[in-house]
Amino acid sequence: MGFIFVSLISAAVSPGSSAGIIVDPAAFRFAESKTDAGLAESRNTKKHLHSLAVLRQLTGLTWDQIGKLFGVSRRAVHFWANGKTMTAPHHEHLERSLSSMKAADKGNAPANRQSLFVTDKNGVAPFDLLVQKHYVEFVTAMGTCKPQKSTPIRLATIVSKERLPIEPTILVDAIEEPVQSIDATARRVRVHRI
Amino acid sequence: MGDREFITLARVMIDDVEEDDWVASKVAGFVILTQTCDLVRTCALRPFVELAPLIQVKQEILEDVIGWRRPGYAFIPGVADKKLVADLDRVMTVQKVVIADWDRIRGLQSDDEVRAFQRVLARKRQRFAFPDEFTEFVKPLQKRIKEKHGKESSEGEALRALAEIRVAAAPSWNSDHVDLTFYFVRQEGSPEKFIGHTWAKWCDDWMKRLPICKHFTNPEGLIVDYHSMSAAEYLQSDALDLERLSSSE
Repeated sequence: MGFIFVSLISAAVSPGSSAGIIVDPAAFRFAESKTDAGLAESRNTKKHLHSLAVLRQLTGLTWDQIGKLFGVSRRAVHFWANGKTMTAPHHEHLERSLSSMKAADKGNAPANRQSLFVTDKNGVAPFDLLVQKHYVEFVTAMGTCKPQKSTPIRLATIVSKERLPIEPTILVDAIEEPVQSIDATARRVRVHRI
Repeated sequence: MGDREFITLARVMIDDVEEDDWVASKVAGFVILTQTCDLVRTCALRPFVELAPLIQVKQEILEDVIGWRRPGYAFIPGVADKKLVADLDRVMTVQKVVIADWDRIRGLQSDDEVRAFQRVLARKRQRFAFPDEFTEFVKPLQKRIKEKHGKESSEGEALRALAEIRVAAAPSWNSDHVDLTFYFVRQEGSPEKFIGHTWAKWCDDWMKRLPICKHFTNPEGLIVDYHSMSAAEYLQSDALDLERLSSSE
């Protein structure tokens, strides 16, 4: 299996590749290394925490979409994200997906996310290829996708800060005003009826 | 501005009640809440303006208002030297002609001040009305946050590093069984650990505060930041109501 995988990658990064993409071979070597038997021992480790966070940062995928990527419920993904263990096959899929995504990185999460869901003439999106564990085809397909916007929005720090909600620690100290007693007396005023 | 007569909307019920008897009181002035774009349109198209009375408060209350701790009042920098704040509990609508000849003081000078004022109004009006059952359900968590956020402890640090807490209800708040997801949104650049304890540890701990409830089944907690939370997840969730926990009464 490892050999086939390496061969396909060679095709993807060959100079004559029509996809015209730049692939980081180191990222693929990393993916290849994860096919070792040692990966099977990853159960009960929490290495996946970092990888999951990086995959989310790279792709901006929702928890539902991450669940779809692994064929599990969002609840299972939440468990992983909170430090629960991941099975070895899922961990392998995570590491391979991450290294593939790194290879196809377009520089920022919005651009990556847009590209993930651009369908080809057959209605297949790169994300579908990743779900099916077709990692090399995924990288190739991502190379042909052009996101609508490639640069992230960068607001000034002060503007970003102004847009943040009021912090929970301030909200919990909020004081509700009592009903005010108005220093006034009842008296007649002129009322115009329409 | 100057002293203005404030007429409440409540009709007075006294022995010799007449339809035209109302309670009237004087206030220091009013703040116009109507946005400029509506204010400048002709009276034929937009005849009314929304006002809130200005009231004078003590210095310590003014400082509370500036520090966002008094959601019932709005800080108006232009009249802060007179210790005046807008009382958002007594908002009213009048015809534009009523205020046309009043003296005007500019209450908000800069864009920052305008934006801060908008946030105060939004905070007062946009709070999601959670079901009563949920309000009871989440009280232990709210209580814990209130008790611990000021402490010099691992948990206190973690709470102070939160930007927001949001909650999503699936399939809907009206369902017989509601799956809740709590999003503990970290501030950008917040640390990974607090005196040796991770975010995951505190997330678990906070979720354990919630009681077992047959209506809200399997509540989940998740540590996120604004970069990892999708727009859909943000839209599908509401900010947890952490106010109304204390009263000066």
